[in-house]
Amino acid sequence: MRPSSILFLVANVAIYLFLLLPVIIVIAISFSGTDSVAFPPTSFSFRWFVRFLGEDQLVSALMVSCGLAVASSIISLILGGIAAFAIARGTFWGRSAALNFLMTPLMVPALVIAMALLEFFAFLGTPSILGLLIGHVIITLPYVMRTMVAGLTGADMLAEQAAISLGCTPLQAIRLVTIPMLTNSMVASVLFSFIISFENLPLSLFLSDPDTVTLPMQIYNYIQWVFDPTVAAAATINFLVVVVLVFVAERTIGLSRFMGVMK
Amino acid sequence: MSKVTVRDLCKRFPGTVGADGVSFDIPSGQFLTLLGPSGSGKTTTLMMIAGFLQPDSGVIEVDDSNIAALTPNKRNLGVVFQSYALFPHKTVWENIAFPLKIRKLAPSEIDKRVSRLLELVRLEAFKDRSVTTLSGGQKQRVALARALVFEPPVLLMDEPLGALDRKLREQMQAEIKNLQRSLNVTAIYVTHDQDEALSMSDSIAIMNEGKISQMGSPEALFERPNNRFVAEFLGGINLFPITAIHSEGASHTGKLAIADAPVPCCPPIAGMSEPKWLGVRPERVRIGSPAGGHFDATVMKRTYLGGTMLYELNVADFLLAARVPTDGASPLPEVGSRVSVSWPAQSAWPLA
Repeated sequence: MRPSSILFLVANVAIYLFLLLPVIIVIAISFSGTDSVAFPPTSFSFRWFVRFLGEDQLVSALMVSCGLAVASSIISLILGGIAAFAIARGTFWGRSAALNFLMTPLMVPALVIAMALLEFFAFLGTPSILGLLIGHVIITLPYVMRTMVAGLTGADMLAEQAAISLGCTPLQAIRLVTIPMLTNSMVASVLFSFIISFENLPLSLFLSDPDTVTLPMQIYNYIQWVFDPTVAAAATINFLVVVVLVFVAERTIGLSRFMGVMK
Repeated sequence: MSKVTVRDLCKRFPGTVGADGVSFDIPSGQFLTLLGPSGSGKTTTLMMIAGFLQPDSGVIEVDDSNIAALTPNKRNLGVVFQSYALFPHKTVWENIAFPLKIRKLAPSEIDKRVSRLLELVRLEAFKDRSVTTLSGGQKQRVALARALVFEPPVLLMDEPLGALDRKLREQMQAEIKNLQRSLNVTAIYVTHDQDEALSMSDSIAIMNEGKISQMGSPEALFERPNNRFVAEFLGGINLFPITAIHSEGASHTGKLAIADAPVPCCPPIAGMSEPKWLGVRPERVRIGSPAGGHFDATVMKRTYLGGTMLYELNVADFLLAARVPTDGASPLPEVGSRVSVSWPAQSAWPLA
């Protein structure tokens, strides 16, 4: 092996360690058998996961997070899909302005969005869960837009024209050709929205009420009062959900496409 | 199999001409190629026939019925696109069966017709494969089969071989031609490749700036172009500036600006404006020993091209090209030697 490739390897290992070590430590602690948060753990057990399941507040927060992520990613897909169709196919004035506008939640800090929404919803008297849902749709919409616009503007979309030449009405062509061709983009949109929503803390900080505390928020609350491996177990569960989704994405549509969304 | 008539088809785009009064007739079962550089209006014309572009004015008839007002899905024409436009989520068989399913044919009939087309394009072994796994040539064969399986009266092709490499193109040209003949479908083919047009077509319409510059059989266009654009677009040509044409009975001579003696040429086309050039294809130029032809020239350069030797000759600072067969029957003079230049009268065309 040449010295340069050894250097490359060492650098890679160092980067991965830097990125993954905190997560590895938290996961290791969550399987600890001792009462205190200590690394490396001296014994192995599942007791902190059992404890997690016994903590009503954490379990209900997990449920809230899952529900919110499912609902917001489906709503985002429907709204974003329709908007992407109009932007990619339409010829109306101001298309790129509309796209840029829908992408702005990527550029504005989530805290700022959360603060603005808090003021707005307080003014309207919107219930907390509805406010959270709207907030999560806003922050996931850019990911849906990116993926769906890219999918719709792909060269293969000439296939829709071909379908019409073969006898389809325009609506049949969309149903039989365009939508099946966009399956990958739709799967990617939903998975990404789910992850973005599931992990979001700032919106919950501002918009949650006692009944709508999300998992990241509950973890944050928990460690202010108690510092035991239960919180590590919660973090591990949170991490596991995301890893499973990324794995599904990799298996169904390929990670390269998935990562393309981030560019 | 149907005849197609196009009358005065016009389409203006902001800032450019799309099509400007395009008219042609194609007899049943014939192969017409619209040939021209990009922006000449050939694809615009084809897309208007397919129905994807709405003409500003004009008539498109298939078997004497005007289809110009029909939506593209009601026109029942086969369309093949340059980028194949296959359905990536379907198999080869499903792609080809698609137009039959839309037409709600009986499953047994669908099976019969798809099998026949699969056989014709030699893809039986690939019928259950996803189209994304096929090579470019195979994809285009699926596209052809899909556009032909519902037995359309007319097949429209928009540069279908544009994405393929040279060798595959030549093979596919023959294959498309065979399919078209054996199914006896009237075909309209768009390309910018003159060799493709010459080898495939019954007739060629050469387009320039939205108009048909000249239309005729490949031979007629190559052997007697009636304007400079057609002459230059279809193969190489020497354009000699001329000052006058003299006609005496059946014989015609041109006065070249670069040589004293008048040279023989064919008669100007009736009604053409004052000819300014004599066009002679390099293949028709003969070279011989000095003082034996229309005028003498000096060999500046010669390039061996396999079957022919390409000569660059200089006469009074005018450079002309000549292609001489390397069959041993013709002399192949060296660079620097003096040679005579001549051509048969019917190979020199007065052009405006």
